[in-house]
Amino acid sequence: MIFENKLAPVPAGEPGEGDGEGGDHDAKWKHGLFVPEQSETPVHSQNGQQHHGDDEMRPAGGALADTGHTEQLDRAGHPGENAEQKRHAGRPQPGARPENVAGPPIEYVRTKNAGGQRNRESNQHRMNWMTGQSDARFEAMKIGLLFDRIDQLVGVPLDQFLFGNLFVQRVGQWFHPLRNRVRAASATFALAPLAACNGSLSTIDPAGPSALRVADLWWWMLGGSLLLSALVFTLLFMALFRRGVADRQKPDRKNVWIGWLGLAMPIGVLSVLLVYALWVGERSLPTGTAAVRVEATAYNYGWTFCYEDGSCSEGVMRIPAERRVDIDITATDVIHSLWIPRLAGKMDAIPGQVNRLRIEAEAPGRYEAVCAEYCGIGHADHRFVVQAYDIGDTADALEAAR
Amino acid sequence: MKAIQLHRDLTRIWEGEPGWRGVLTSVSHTDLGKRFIIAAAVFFGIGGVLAMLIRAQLATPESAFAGPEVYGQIFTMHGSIMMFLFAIPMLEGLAIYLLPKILGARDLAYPRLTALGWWCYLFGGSIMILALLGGVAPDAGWFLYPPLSGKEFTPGVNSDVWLLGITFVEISAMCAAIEIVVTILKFRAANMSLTRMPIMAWYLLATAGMMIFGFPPLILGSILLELERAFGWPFFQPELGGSPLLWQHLFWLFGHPEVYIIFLPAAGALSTIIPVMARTPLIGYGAIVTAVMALAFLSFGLWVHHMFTTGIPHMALGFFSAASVLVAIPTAVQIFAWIGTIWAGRPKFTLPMYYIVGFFIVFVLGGLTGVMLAIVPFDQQAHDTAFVTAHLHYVLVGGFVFPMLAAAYYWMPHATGRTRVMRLGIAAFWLILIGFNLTFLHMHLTGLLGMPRRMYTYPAEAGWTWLNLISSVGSFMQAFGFGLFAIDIALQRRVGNRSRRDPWNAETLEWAMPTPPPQYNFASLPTVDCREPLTRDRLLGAGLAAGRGLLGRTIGHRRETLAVDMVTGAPEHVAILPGPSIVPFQTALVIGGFFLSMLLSLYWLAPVFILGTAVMVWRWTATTGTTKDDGPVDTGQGDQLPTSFAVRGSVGYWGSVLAIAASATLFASLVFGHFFLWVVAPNWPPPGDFGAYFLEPALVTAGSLLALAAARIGARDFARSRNGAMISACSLALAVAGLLIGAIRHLPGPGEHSFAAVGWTLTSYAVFSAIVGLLAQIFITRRIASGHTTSDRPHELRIAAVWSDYGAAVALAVAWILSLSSASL
Repeated sequence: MIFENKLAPVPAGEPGEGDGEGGDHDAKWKHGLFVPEQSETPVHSQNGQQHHGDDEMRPAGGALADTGHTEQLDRAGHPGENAEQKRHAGRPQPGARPENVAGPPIEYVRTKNAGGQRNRESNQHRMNWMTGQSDARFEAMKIGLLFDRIDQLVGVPLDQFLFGNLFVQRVGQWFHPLRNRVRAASATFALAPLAACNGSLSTIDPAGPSALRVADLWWWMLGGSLLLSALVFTLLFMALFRRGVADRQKPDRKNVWIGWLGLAMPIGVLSVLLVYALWVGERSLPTGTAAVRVEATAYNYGWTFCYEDGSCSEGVMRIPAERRVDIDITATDVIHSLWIPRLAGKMDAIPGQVNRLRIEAEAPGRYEAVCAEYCGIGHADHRFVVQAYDIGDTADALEAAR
Repeated sequence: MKAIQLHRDLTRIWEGEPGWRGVLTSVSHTDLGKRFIIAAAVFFGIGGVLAMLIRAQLATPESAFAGPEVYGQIFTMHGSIMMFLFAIPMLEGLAIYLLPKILGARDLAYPRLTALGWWCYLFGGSIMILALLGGVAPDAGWFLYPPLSGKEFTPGVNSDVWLLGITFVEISAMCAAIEIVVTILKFRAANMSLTRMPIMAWYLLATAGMMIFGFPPLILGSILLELERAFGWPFFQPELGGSPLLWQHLFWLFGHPEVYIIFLPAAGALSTIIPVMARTPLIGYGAIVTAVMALAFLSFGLWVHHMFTTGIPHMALGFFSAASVLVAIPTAVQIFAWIGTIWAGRPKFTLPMYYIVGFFIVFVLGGLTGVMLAIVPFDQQAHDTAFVTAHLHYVLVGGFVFPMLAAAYYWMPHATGRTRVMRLGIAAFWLILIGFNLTFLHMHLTGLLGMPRRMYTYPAEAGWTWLNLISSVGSFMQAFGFGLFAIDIALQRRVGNRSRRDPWNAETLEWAMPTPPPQYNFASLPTVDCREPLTRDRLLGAGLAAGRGLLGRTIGHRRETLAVDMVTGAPEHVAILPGPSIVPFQTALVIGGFFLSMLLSLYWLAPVFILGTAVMVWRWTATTGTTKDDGPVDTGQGDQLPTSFAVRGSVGYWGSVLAIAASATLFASLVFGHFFLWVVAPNWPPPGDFGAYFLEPALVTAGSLLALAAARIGARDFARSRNGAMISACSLALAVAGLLIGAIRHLPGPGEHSFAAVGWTLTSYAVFSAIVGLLAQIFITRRIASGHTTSDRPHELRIAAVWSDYGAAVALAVAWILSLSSASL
């Protein structure tokens, strides 16, 4: 699956480094795999489904994912990396993102000033500790998850939300690979001319949950639009080229044209779309606590980012990967708009006003960003870069970002 | 013999003056409509050339063709020209040319106002183009967001050109809007009830109604921004209690209805042409009328969908998102009604039909991407990217340009009396359709790949190179298509064969006249008893030409047409219309003087031109009316009807009501601005002490109430009306004094804080409205003295009362809004 690999474009912690076992743990940790997999179990049992239904839902990598799943429950680790990426590609992130419970506080990472090697070691220690204590942590997390139940009701994967689990089990089996293939094909098509930049500003190459949800929304809307336009054009050309009726007194079927096609169909389609969109929008709001706050200030022509520790950077925004980051955006002169297409939608930077945007990078890496609101002659070059660093590799990344 | 004599008499009465003077004094809707259409087409050409420059610049990465300063002017002017100098005037031209003809009337309700609109459009548009040639064109984007468009970041004259030029052009839009509504409601064929109106009239009624309520917020926004730029009144500066978002609200309060204002007349043309080409009546007339009215109403409730990324709370956005997708429903009703009509009929593949098919293809795609953009999370990704550029071109070219091309081919035989010559039109169609899709279809993808709008260049690594190059190739293909279309139209005009009357077997009354149409349209006016009078009676036109309709006779040199009851269409009175006049041209010149003095920062000169405008308006109104009483006149069919001088509900009254509705919308927008800044803007409350004050508001209240009462008494009893008017005028003067004293004593200087700036603007508006009412009442005393207004011709009393009532009401409202605001600060 070409596209799936694209979803984790920058390999997180250089898996080649360190010993295989540790690296594996490390990668899993970064992908939040260990925790969310478990968090899914209550969701499904709540819906009256056994979790093997969940396995059936992943047709392509099904067996692998199944294995991985079992392994996680037993040994709290060693799942197929592929299965995890599959989850990201196939549907939006599940509601509960328990990093806040399980993850170390970001300040802890920040205070680490040690060199790379030492940091990696401490990381290793932390992971070992995690492995040993997994059951206890899982219990603690379950309590936390109870509070997220309501959220999960809406936060189930979208296809289940719309059609129910049964549909997903039966139809989704072929539907999911189909959708992924469509996506892969589209991405290949879209990105074919972009070999050089790998779609660094592409909204359809998402690298964060918010952008991912919107990209999903886009593919759904594209599919729906293609169907609808096919319907309209078919009717139009049938109307144009069907054999004429000489008799003008023939009933004109007003009910069908205006009642069903003109009223009922759009009302039905649009209601579903609105509910879906409201769900996507609500999920991307900066609610709850974010791990990190950044203050972004736009001006002619540059960007300043200030962090909680009082430090600031110009033109580069440093954020931890896999953490919710809230950006408080403002401007000092004219209106600008902060846009990191692969992470989230845009938010205007307006003088005299602070707007908050929630972003999250799924993996460490560089994400290009541009100003989206015309701000004068320097608009075309009014860009910046988001540097998402690996929280397990803080000092290295911080150094690199600086 | 009688028919030929009638034709000669009517020609003598209705024809314009000869030579150059005739060009300046013409008030004929046929002439002026054609001028609007031709000028709009020329501006379309200029806008198209700018589009080609944009595509030339973006064809390759890092292009050295245009720098960012020049590029800023190019894209700003491309958008502004296409919106304000092409689309709106084109639809006005279509309405002005067509409306009396499809309604069965001889002219529009206010022929001189049509002329004024034309000159304002021409002068305002010329200012814009001259600025472009001089290199000082607006360059902050067609929606001119402050603070970028403010004095600090655009110190040159560029933004002023936009604000003043566009407002100048807007005068013509307001004139046209009022005129269209009154014409549709009053100047129809006898017995043409609302339900028998041709569908196009419904569309134009909705459009003009939307213009009356849609344009004032933009005009207000332009006034405020110009005040800020010229005099430093801080409406949009956050550090002094303003908010840049206020501009966005005002702009899009206009800007979104604008899209439907452009689309609806085009849809009206489609609803007119499709049934003719399908040779069957339109299905769902009632459903379409309902859909159009729903669209007109809904379009005012979704302006915020242009502001999804400005930080408005998500639930509020959800409301506007729902309203935005809701408009897809009335649009779908129309689309399927049209397809259903084609289905029910036997379509002819005429040239207009090609463009109609093009419309369906392009517009449906644009509508679908429109629904996508109404979805908040998706819009937050796609907003301000090439995706939006692609979408808006699909909607506007699909929803306006293609129908207008169809309409051009459909009505050309009407305007010229000739048929098309060659198959150039079909070649042009394919070039435009393929070129258009080649330009814009994959531009959606360009946007999704992250290309923002309005970038003058992009790096090669961005990966948009091929997409942009294909767009550029497509756009030039399109340009050749439009060029071919222009050649085809010119050929048809010059060398086309004479066509017979009504070559399409159409349904509506404009084809019941000789083509090209005579200045008087109909030698005698039709009486209708169904929606498709021509289908019922193919020889209707001949009968009318022979004088077998109403008013098929002449009285002196009087221009007459029939005015009917608004709902039933029963003949009500004979409207007497003014002939050629130089006054509209002179008035436009004086107004132009005002705009130029503002543009050149000769602020001391501007009041002179305001005074001059007042003098011109006085002259204008003073030349209407009559001092002779000639009683009811014969309709030519044995009935007696009063003339427009002797009725209470004359078109002048309804025009005044609509003008006041527009003015009240501007006032409401200003009050909205006041409270918006109070609630939303930073740096509130203003520094300083604000106490309650009641003396001046009490004075204003006394003056206003007295003015209202005096006008009532004068209207009830003609003997007292002259004194009533005098008292009313004096009371308004008292109210004006109260307003001014209140502002001077209690408001800080307008440059200090947005509260004071808005306060002074409110006061100025109230003073202006009260003075207009005051002048109207003084005017009435003069008219009574001169014998124009008598107990038999009382309609001007009513008109003056409407204006003075409004002035009094505004003065009252403003005095208390300011007093209570100060008290609660």
